Amino acid sequence: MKLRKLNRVTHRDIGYLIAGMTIIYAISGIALNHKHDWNSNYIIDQRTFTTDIRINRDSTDEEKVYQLLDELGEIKNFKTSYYPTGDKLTLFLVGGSAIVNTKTGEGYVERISKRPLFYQFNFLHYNPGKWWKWFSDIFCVALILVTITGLFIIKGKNGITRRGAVLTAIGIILPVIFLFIY
Amino acid sequence: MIKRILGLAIIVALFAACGNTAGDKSTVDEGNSSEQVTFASITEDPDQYLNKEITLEGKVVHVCMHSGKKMYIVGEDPDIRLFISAGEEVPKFPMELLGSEISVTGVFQKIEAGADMEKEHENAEEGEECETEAAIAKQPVLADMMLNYKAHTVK
Repeated sequence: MKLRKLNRVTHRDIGYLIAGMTIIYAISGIALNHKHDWNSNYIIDQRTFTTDIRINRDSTDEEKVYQLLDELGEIKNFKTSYYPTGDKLTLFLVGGSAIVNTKTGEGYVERISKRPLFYQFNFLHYNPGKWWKWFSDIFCVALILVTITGLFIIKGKNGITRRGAVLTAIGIILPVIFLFIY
Repeated sequence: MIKRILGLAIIVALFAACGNTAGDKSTVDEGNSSEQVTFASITEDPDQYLNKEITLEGKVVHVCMHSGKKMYIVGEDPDIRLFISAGEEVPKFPMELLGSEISVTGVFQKIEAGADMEKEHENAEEGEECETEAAIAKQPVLADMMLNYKAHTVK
């Protein structure tokens, strides 16, 4: 088999193989890039409330906790409470939590649910285990291989010696410029 | 035939994505050789358990929402938290663990300077001023200790 044909076949077949992985990493990459602006893992639904029920840390009154849960309509979801030093009482609920400032009576109920697709993509992106680590290493090597073989697919004026060289150079120079900017 | 295979792959991927089961499994360490300890005992004399595999019970009060690789548990004293690090051997801790009483097994270790930097890096990456981490830094004990996670069961 000629070298050029081998290059094309390698590029094509590995390209097919890694298409799914590339999309997973690309989508979760965008999501994780913007994690300061948007929580891609979870959908967080928050509602605020104010209560007149005052709960004292030193004598945490279970009856008052249940009164508050009743007020919030969350009795059936109640798991347990957490009240460290300070004014913040956390009531853990199934699928979320209620946090109340026991001094002011102000608080919020937070419901957390997994964001479909993004949660799973990010889960994989964050390297969940050692088998995935090796699998994603192989993917990265394959990605390098696809990129290198891709450079030599086309011959002539659009190939790596002319137009391709200019575009490849731009692709290398751009990140270098950012390195200098930062 | 090829269209069927491609269609099947897409359907399998969608089912996996909608199943929402990733990272939810609690693992049990078969043939567990760890020492059962209480929060009070590790608080009293942490050095005694240094680099040993221990199992202790506690309430999960914080799970990292981004990486899911960190969680914090408390015992009877709500002001003494212990940092549990997932490492790469296990998937992320699910948010459903929040508020649950768990029995957790792992190697009790000092947080090394390198690991500390890694933690800071993670925090910077996550862009969140973690209230729990700020609180743990002020603890009189266990502030510089962690449990390198191996397994847990929800009680």
